[in-house]
Amino acid sequence: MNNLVILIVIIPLIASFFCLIDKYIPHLQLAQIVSIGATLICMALLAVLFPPIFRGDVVSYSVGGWKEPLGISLHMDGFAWISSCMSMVVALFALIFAWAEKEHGNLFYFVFLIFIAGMQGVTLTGDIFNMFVFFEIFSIASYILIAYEGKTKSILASFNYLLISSLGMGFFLLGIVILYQHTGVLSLNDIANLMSKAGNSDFTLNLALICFVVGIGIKAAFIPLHIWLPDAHAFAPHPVSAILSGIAIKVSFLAIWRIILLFQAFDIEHIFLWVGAFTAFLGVIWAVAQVDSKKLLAYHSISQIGFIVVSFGVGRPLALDASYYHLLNHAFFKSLLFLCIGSVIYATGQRHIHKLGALRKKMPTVFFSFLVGMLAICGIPPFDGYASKALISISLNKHPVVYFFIFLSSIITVTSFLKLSGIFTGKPNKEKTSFISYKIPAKMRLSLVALSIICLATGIAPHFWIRTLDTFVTGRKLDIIPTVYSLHQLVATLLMVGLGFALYLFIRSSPGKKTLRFIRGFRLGLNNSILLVVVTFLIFILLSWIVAKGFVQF
Amino acid sequence: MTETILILLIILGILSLEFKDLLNAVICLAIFSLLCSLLFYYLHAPDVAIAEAAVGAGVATVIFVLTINKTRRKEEVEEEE
Amino acid sequence: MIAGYLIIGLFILGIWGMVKKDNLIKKVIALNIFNSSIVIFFIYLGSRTGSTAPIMERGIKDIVDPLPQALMLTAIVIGISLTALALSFIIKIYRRHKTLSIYKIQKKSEHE
Repeated sequence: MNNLVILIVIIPLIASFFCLIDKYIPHLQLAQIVSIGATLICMALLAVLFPPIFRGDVVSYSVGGWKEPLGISLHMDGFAWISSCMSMVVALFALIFAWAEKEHGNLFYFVFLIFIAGMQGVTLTGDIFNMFVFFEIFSIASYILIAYEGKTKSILASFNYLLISSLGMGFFLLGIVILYQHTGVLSLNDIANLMSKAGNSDFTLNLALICFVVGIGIKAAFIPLHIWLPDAHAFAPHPVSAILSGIAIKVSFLAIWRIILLFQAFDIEHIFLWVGAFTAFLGVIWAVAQVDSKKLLAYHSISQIGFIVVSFGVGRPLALDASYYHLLNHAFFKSLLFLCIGSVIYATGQRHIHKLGALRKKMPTVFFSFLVGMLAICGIPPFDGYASKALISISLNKHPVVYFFIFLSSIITVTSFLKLSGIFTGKPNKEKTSFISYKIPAKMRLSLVALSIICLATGIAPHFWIRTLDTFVTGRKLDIIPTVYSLHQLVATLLMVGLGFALYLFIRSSPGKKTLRFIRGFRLGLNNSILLVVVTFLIFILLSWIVAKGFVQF
Repeated sequence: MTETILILLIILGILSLEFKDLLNAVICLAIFSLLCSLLFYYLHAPDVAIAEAAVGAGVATVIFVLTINKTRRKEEVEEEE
Repeated sequence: MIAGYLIIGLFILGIWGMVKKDNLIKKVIALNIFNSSIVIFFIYLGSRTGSTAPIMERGIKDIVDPLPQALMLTAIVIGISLTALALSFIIKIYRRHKTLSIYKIQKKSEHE
């Protein structure tokens, strides 16, 4: 049983080599079959691991037979199990979509599988240096995948991502140095043991924690660290956008989550509460201003990460469950939305929102899948986004200002998706479009429909899902689960939709368009964004110093 | 000894960032890596010293020179905005 | 202690180069310096615990901590692969824009 844990990391790596053989036997499509097979095998392994995980056991594997203080261990607990399953499901449908596109060579699948292996490793590893190595593996794979199509914009986006993220990984390594020098341990379990003995007043350890948070935070993309994201996610190939937005930022955020809970350190969670609120709000404001359909979705990823971070910042068990629930839901509906827009771009070759229109009757499958994703992200019952957003609102009842920001962001989310849905419902395009067939391959349709069904399934019984998450993530700490379909929440949703529609009417008027153009014109160059990362790092250090000295108490 | 090498490293780092001719900059970086490996040797880390000499001074220099060969050698003068 | 401050100076030099330099290749050089500074930092801190290299022969005592060295080998290899990837991106960007200045490249790609 214990050996299965490492197989989840190793199987994609082994399969990736078979993808390279594909060059010599081109008609077999070996790369596609092998990569999908590898994800299916991993899912089967996860299913085998389900009974012990559900009982609350931790399945561990020591690499090379060396036990924990000396060697590296992989731990599969409920927290990692769900994240692992989520990545596998999204990766499977992204792979099927990529197969349908027929544009990608065997190298694409090779790098894709290494990407999956790296992410599984980050989820499972129990050693902080090992986590660094897996982070670098999946980052390098993601740089290559973003630049894969060879367009200049995507290469530039990937280069920016590379520089900023390498800087972050440098900080992460610095954190490892500080931690090792101060405590002499690198495994996460040992850190937890030390922390429970030592307490949390040590400034050096807080410094290490901040190095970790800023380093991984660049990949998780909450606001001062988000600048690489929109370009990278927008100009990547469509299945890659889906997995980057769907799982890569989630896996990074879950790594932050695990590290912060281990350190039990000073009240960094309160900082997250405010960081999350601003992330949700500013991200959605930029999103509504975009005219490029994929860029709009990319900015929404930032905004939704804000929702997740806010709920994490509250820190109570219910809020943590809500945060994980929203993270899970966002992984599914955001990858669904990216694949929908991807199939529209595949069929029409056009990505500008105002140059597309009236695709509802020409592409009905895509339209209905898009509708599911849109209603989910806006938080309309009975879709999954509603349940998790309602739970986040309930858990925010002691923080009214933050709740106000979150509610505002929900309103603008509705507005921006009304704007995006113009490509299906609006007026038809005046340019010559007669040569376009509007047909998409069956495999594409399969992945869209399957993801829509998952979105429906995770939303239909919120109590069941929150109870499951409670078992897996926080370890059965919840006594009562507040009802999601309360009158208060339904009224709030109704108000949100109404205000969102009013705002949509405003942005269609000429002062609204001017405002949006102004917001769109605001952008930071590469130099300034690197500077921003460094400044954020310094600000976090300053905050932790202030807290450690006891000037401010949260 | 450590301090001397570190001061040299800082000087080489500044030189490699300030040279307008990129080839000179890359040669400075190669010497930087060699000095790094010397430093590692003095700090009782012979294995890291060998790796740094092979990877940092050898492979890195080769790929930097290849890149300059395929692009341009002189750094452009920044234009006024 | 002076060595510690000098290493911090190297660290800041790397960050300054990444922020301030306009040329893409210079940015990658600065990234290399930044990575080296962290590696030197770790090795330097590790070396203070002993006085001989960790090569186990009979009669050798008082060795330095071998773990930082093993970890930094990995970090060096990761650094070189990042450099190679970044430089290959630079070649592709140069073929399209015929310049290495990030300011000019960003200006050109905005107009597309």
